[in-house]
Amino acid sequence: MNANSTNTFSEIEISYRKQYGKLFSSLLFQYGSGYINQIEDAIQNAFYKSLKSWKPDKVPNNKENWLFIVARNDLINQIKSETKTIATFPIIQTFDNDKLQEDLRLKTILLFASAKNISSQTKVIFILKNVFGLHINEISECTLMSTDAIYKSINRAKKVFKSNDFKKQFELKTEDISYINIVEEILYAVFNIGFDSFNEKINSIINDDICLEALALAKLLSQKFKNNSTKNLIALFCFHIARVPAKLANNKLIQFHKQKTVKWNIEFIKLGFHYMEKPQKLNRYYIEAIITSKHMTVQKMDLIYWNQIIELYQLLKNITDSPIIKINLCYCLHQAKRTSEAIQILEDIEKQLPKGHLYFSLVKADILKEKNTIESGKIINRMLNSVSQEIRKDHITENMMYNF
Amino acid sequence: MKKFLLLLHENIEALENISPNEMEKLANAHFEWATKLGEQGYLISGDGLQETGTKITGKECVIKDGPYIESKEMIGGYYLLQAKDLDTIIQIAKECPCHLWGGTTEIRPIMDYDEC
Repeated sequence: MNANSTNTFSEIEISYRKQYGKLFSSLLFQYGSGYINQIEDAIQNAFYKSLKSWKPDKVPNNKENWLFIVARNDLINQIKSETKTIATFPIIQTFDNDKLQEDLRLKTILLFASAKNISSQTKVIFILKNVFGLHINEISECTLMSTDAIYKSINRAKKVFKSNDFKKQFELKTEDISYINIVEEILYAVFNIGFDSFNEKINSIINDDICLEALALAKLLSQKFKNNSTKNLIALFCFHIARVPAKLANNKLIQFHKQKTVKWNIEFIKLGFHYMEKPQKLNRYYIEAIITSKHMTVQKMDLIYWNQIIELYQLLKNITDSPIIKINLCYCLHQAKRTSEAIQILEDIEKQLPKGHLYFSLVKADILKEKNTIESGKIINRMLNSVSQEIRKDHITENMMYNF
Repeated sequence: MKKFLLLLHENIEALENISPNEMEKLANAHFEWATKLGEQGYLISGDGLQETGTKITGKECVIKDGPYIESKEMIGGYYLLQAKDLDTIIQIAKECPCHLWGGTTEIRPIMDYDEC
């Protein structure tokens, strides 16, 4: 390092989180799913080495390439020392840039989505860690799952990915399009985790880089397979992202219908309408995109309006068994003065959800506010005791929050 | 101007467990800090050190190869700095990003023979 350096780099200007996913996917496709642990260590070591090697007057021209070479060489060294044989992989100094630029993250998600004997939740967690570059603690903060439960899920996933059955499937490298719906589900789950984060370390409840990465990968998926449902998923993402600038004001959470619409990002709204496409067979994302776009364009939310939205939620309920959809339906029924129907559905879904589920509790407390004030108050107190994120506590104290 | 060696003792355990996002922030923090020191004229040189190393001890020259995992901390890098006095360097060292993840900085004034 030279004190007289005139270099004015102010930062590294590379997203390590995004790089993690790209490096993981590249190395996975080169060395196979039998080396997942070693690949994870190699990437962490490459990042650590960058910390020590990159100086204001000594930054590689191509940082992605540098990280890839260092991670790959580290991986080879690990394999060499573990197998105690002369490895056939040569230590490399440069790498074909075109190959590196190929973003294999989507391919990786497609592959993991097709794995059998593994739950969707486990797949989402594994992908959050290795494709979206989230740390176990961050996943825990986002999902409210314990770190132990996350470690167990990841280890379970690794066991499956290291199995011979999966290795055979991996070697074929075929992209089975019947799994696109699972990939969409995964991207949707990842997006929602970013859009409604429980991470206490960030001031906002939005982790927008996760949302934007989910959107970018959904676009890649759409370009590749041109599925109608993916286009509608993108439309839904765009409508949600458009509201991000209005979701917070003065460090306070602003609920959807109280947001200043002038703050909404008009470009993303336009993009949402551009991607929204009527399907031949109804799909979840199309209906959800319609509901969100209606909420964003309606002039007056009267009984007629809420009954129209209820009809759309009834359609959704026939397509998906998601309890969140049913909770949203309950909220709409309550708005349409059909509270007893809402209470009936709430009672049915309570058993499906973990005890003290935040969103369920919020809606139930609000619906019961007029008919059973004591019960409503009890629920609010329980929520205040269980929520640690200050911004949410403030919001619960001041009013009620709803997600659509 | 006096010269000082700033040794960065890193907390290995903490660094092994940080997320890619935190690693990026740490790398940026080091980068910006080193840039600022250079612009202010305090920085002479500095580098990161590899985890591996070799210790040679005693008359028999017993050789022991690292990394020395019995230690929770490891010297991960150094900066050679210059300033008018130790107090200035202490203020500079307090801002070293090494502290963000449980690390320790050690300031060792370079012996000035004129003052001996």
